[in-house]
Amino acid sequence: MRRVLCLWLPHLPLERLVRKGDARTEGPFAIIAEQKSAWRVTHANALAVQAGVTEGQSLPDARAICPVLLSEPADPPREQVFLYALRRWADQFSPSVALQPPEALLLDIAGVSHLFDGERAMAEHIAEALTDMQLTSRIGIADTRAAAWALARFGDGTLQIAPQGQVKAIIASMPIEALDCPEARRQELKRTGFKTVGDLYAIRPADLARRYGIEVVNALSALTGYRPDPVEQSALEPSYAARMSLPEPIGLVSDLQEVLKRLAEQVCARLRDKVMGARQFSLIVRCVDTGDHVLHVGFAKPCDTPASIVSQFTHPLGKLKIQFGADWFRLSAEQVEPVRNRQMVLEHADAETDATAQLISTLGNRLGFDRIERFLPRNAHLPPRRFSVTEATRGAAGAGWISDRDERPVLLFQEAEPLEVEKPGRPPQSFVWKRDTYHVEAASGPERYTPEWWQDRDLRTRDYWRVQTEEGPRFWLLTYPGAKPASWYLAGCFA
Amino acid sequence: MFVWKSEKGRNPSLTRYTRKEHNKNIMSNTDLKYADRGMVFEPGRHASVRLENGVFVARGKLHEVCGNGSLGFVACLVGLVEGPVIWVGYKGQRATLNPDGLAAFFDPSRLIMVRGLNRADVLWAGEQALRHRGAGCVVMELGDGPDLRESRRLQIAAEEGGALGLAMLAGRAQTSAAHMRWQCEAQNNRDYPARWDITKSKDGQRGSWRVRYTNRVRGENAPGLVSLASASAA
Repeated sequence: MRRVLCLWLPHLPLERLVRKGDARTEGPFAIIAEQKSAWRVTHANALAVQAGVTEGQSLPDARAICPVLLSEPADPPREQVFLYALRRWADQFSPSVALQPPEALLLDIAGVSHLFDGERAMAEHIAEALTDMQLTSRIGIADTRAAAWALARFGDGTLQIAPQGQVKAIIASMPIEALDCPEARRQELKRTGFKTVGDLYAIRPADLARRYGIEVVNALSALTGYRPDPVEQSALEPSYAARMSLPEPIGLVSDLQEVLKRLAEQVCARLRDKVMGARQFSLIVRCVDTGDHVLHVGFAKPCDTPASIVSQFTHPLGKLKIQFGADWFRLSAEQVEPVRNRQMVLEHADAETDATAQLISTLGNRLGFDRIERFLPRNAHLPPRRFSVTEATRGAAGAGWISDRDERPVLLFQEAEPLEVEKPGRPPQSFVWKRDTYHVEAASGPERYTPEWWQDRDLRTRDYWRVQTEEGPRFWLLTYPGAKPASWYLAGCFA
Repeated sequence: MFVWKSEKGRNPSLTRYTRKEHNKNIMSNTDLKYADRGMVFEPGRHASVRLENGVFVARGKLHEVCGNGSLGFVACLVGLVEGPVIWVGYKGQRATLNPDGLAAFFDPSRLIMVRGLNRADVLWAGEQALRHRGAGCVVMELGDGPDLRESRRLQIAAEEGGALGLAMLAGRAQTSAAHMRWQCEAQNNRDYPARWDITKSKDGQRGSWRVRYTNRVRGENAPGLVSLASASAA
């Protein structure tokens, strides 16, 4: 038989700020969120409630009632991180803990509670521990996940336990809100006159399903345990990080590197255990006087070798200004990816890719990885569209370049450069580009392209001409046939 | 004058590992590295890109390329060496390389483009790429030529890494420590569309050529070289 403990933290966003030591929470204070096209109060502290602020009130109304009210918009990502941290803490009570966002935890306590002298003692122990952390909690224990949640949420008092096998009777007095189904369904039920979950027991499930939809029946059977509703344990993400605090601050670069080496060895050992590597590492250096400094390095391919981490950090560490020393360090791996293990390098081709990846890391860490690019072939007929440019770290080099049957320019202008025509013609007999005059000796063309109508704005037909100038250079000229007056552009240069 | 002497009677701080010895060691390393890859191998010298008439463009050195035909020269040389090509240029240039056109000279998948914001970025990236063994050829697009100090640093980096270093100059060339300087001009000539001249060479190589690009198939892009001198003699 399953037993589930639901831990609901009704004031989680508010108490997160209290724990942070936010001075505003000492007076009337509320957390607000944008709901139904207005800023509304979602959580209010005791002083605000005393002054008459209620949840769901719009912020202007609340301000009118309580002029000294201070507020802060909700920050769901941070609240999730906080809940995730609590989930790690809750590991001490049960091997299987699940998150129930936004503000509840589910603990599967079947076969565990006797370790804490029974369910009630266990729940009280948890509530006490949470109170020590300045967190308000409400706890429900039942046979099913949905029932435990309903007890925590709508039960009387801060702790309610449904003894084994009596869930149905205890749940009967719960309001319709306890059903885990879409809000519209609950509204319909309430409009019909149902007030409590118990009211639904008398109606045949088939009738319920026909009138209100299958979701209501599913929610009801999940509550009473007719339908399996397991606690889905959320796996803890392994953390690839290591930290070190020192009794005395250090400041020499060689010392910092030694610390970094030891941290990197720990992190890399953990990464290697899981056959993983990381594309980014960040190092937090806590200086005695100036606080935390965060340094980042990136890698062109997942890295799990301490030596290369140390060598990539050399430059940012050298730039760090440490006056009075640093005494706390944390190295963490980010963007963790599986490493494809290779046999020892035997061929030059492999050695080359290794060395090249290392070079890309070095260049990218200083210039930015978006500045290191590579060409990929693209299947298009328009010459300037026949290739694309991507970051070199994204994927391998694109194969499949086909040398064109016609000679192509080696240099292309992204925006064709307008030319000043001196002696007109088709192509012009002489033109000026960059203040140099060029006389056309020979020309071949036109090479005519229709635009790609499905993605081009510019729907003009293009004519390209190959031109040999008397001065030497060979150009690729562009013109739009039919345009009057005819304008000429420089599209590229030949080798 | 007081000179501190060690037991052997020589000032230890003066017995230095000379640059020449250093180069010799590195050269033998690079020779081995590239020789067994099937590159041109000349005993006692760098493995190098051999052109016509015994002229060769040495690897592990920095070469300057000037003139409006320099892109053709660089593309030909890249086609003659192996390994990845690091092409260091500026960000936000109006003209970009066209891999479709370069495919006639070498496989564009070998190209890795690095975009610097300023000259310091370009020089730094070039130096790193030359020093690293990950590149077969490093091309830098510079405005004015590198000065003595810049080129010396690049030269030392190239010696350490063994890659072929090419600096394309759009502006003025300066007095530099580069090994060779090539002047490459496009020609109004149907048969020979380019002309290459050696305007400076530290090991005394001379020559000027009229050039035709033959074998325009990837992998065998040896430029067809006709020495100007021999052409005029014939």
